[in-house]
Amino acid sequence: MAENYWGKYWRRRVSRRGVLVGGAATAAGAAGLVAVGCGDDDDDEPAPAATAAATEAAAEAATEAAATEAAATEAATQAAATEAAGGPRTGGTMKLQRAFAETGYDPAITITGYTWVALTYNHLLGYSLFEDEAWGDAAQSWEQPDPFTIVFNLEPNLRFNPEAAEGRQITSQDIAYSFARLPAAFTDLASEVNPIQFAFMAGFDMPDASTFALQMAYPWVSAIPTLGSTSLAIVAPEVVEANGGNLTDTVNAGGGAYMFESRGRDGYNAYARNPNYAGHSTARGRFTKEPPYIDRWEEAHITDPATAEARFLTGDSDILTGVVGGIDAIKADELRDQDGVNIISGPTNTHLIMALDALKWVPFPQLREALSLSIDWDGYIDVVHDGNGIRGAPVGPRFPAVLSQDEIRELQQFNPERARQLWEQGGGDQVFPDGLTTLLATFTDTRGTQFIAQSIEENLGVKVNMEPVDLATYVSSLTAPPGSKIWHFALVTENSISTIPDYNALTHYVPTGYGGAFGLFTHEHPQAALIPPEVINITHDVGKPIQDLYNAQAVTHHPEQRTALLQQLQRLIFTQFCCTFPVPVADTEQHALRTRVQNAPLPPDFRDNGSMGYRRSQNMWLADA
Amino acid sequence: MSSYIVRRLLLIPITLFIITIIVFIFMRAVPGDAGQVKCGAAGSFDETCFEQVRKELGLDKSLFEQYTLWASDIVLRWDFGFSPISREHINSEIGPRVWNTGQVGLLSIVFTLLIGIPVGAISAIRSGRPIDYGLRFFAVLGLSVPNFWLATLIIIFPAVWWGTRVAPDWVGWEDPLTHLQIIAVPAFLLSLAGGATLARIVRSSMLEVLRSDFVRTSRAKGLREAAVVGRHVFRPSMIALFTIVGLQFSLVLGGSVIMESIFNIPGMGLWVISAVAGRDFIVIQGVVVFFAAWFLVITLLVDVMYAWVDPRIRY
Repeated sequence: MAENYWGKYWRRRVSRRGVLVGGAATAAGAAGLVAVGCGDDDDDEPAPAATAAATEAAAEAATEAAATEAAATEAATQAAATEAAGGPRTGGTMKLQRAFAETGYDPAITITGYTWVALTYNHLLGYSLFEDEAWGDAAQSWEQPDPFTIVFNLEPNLRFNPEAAEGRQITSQDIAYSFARLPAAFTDLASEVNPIQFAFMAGFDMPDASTFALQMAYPWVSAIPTLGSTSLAIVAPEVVEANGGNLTDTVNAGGGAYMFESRGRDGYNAYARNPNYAGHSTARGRFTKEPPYIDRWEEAHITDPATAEARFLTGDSDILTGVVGGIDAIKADELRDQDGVNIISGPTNTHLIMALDALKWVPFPQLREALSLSIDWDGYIDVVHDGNGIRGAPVGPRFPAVLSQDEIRELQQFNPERARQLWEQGGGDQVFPDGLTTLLATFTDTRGTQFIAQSIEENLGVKVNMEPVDLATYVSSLTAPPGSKIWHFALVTENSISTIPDYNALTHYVPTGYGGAFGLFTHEHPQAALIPPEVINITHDVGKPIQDLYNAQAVTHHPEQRTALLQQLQRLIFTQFCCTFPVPVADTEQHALRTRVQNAPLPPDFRDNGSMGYRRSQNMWLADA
Repeated sequence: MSSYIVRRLLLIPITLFIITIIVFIFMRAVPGDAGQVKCGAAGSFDETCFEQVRKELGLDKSLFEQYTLWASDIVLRWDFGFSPISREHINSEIGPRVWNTGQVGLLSIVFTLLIGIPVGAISAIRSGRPIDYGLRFFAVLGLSVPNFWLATLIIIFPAVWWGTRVAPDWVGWEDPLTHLQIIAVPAFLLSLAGGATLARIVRSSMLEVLRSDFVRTSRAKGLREAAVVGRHVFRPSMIALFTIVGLQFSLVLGGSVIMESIFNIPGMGLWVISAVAGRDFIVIQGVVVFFAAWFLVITLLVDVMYAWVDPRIRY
């Protein structure tokens, strides 16, 4: 019998999260009633604000608990599935698909090649976002004798694949060579690797072939997670030199668990086991002692989202995920009922920003504040994330130093009356007589852009022009040289926080990072000469304190002191209103997998780069192998 | 006739010259070049990187110099250059891609004929009857419904309902049956609009012939209806067919851009889409010039064929 529409909801399992949220709301309601009931009968205020705060705090706690519980439930479900599937099996081919074309095969140059870099290269470390823990990959162990030095002892059986340097042993010299070429690749080979990933390296010592000592220019707190970044892959110097100093057109230059089997036209790549790969001396994190369970990987380049979904539903791809982040909740619900589909979810670690072109906004502090006050940030959560979102902050939501949701709400308010007042006082209509312009790109959060534009139009009475742009125009417009940006504000989709949790979000706010790309310059910035003097004097005043606090926290190892600095930095960013606004994000992240995929890491670790990601989860296996 | 062909042949390089200039200027007018796309990806836009990439790609030279270098390579050496993004030589890419796109295009022409001629003929012969209305309805539908929308439905619904795909991943002729399956679906979708147009044209030209004096005379002589239609109506009605098929031929390369993206066919269309996304000027310019040259040659051939088929036409 066909299923009745309402029957589906009637029979739907009550989730733990639902129980928790419902319980929290009931508890908060009961607390409110008790507060009212226990009060005296005089006319004292019954503290409705306190009641509301209690309700919000309870709801927030419930949300956090729900996210953690959801991850625990997923983990339990996965464990049960693993047991049902009969334990780990060796063999099988994992099938992937990606939306973008490869732009080369050199890990020191391109940052878009997650699959080949994760499968065919070693890295010193892997890093888990969820557990905030690093696991040795090429490194068997490591120690930090002083704040400026980290010494790594390498795995004893590390070897390149047979096509790279004749499969010889990987030594500490190779690691030094791999890291040393990053700055040159940036200046000479148009590398896409953000310099922040290698700027902390001052020198290397190689006392013997299996010991590598990294000297740091400053005692960077984030050095360990950064060493798990895909860009810091270990390459064979012989292959690099034989190819004129770059690996853009060359594959199989590493010693990872797999090697290229074929490179097909239009991005159809296949990977087979590297026969020289020996695994690890002990199993740790998601690295196995023996080589990984899965035999082969295939990856297709699929540009059309409908085709990608069809390939996933028919088993031609094992994973369906978004271009940035996971799939949205509606798509996850749609797919949940399909045969052979497993939806995994976990706490989000997404970060989304609204960038302002600093050159246009810095001279007008009142207008910046008015802009922020005119946006209904909680309404954004309701409309864009169907109520399942959290307020964004300049550090990632998984990082302990992130400000509380209450404090963020306090710092980033919605106050249309005050916004209008400030806009008028600041002469907004005279400063921006043609209104404001933003970019509308299909792959970014278009609903978010539309919501913000509407909020500004309604609350400030300013016309917002939305420029539809393709990917290349979007990137080049965002990073256009100072003075030639066509936009006043833009939502910037970025995947950086899935890479390194603690500093990558902040780079969007500091002049030496993406803040500079948006025009927030200091006198020390390399592009300072391009900026009109009357503007840089003001941008410097805004950007310098942000940069200084950022630099200070980056070398503060004491956790509490660092947290204090980071919180001070976040408050400064919120109160400067310049020139990057954090935007709310969904509270959970979902990905769709075929049910044959077992033991995949849950979000946020599921994703790429330093988070280890599923591509480097060697304990993942296929049930039908 | 021969002087007409010579004139047209002489016009081709002039037209191509104008097209190259237009393409070149328009590509430079689009915001962002490969340097900005590559150097912006690191987040902190780096001037050194930008200058380096622009130098590597020759974008630091004057527009005149850039154009001269590019155009002279094509004219003197038939060399379309290297893609700065994929690092592939464009000449070596064009051949296989034209072949892949051409297979879909040629099959779509076959489908166009298979749909358009019988539908138009039946509709004309049974004019004013329910079958005529029915076929005309479907012809209008074929013209009105965008083929990319149909393609998306054809891709997604079988996967959701039956867990199958009507067009699997590209395999090439090593697996002929699967390969035919892959190219048949986009070819069929591409042929719908052409088939519908052809059906309407065949119908109207057959109706015109059916009402002519010589057909009436044939019937008066006592010829069977099949012989009247087959011998005296069908052949003169087919001249219009050349126009449509000729146009289809010229659109073989350019018309399947969206289909190639949806069905992931490694042809010219998918190539140019990727090139646009990466601001790969060299590929875009090369592909557009190739499309233009193809269009000019095919339209010339069609015009010549037209005169050959219909002796009344004189150039």
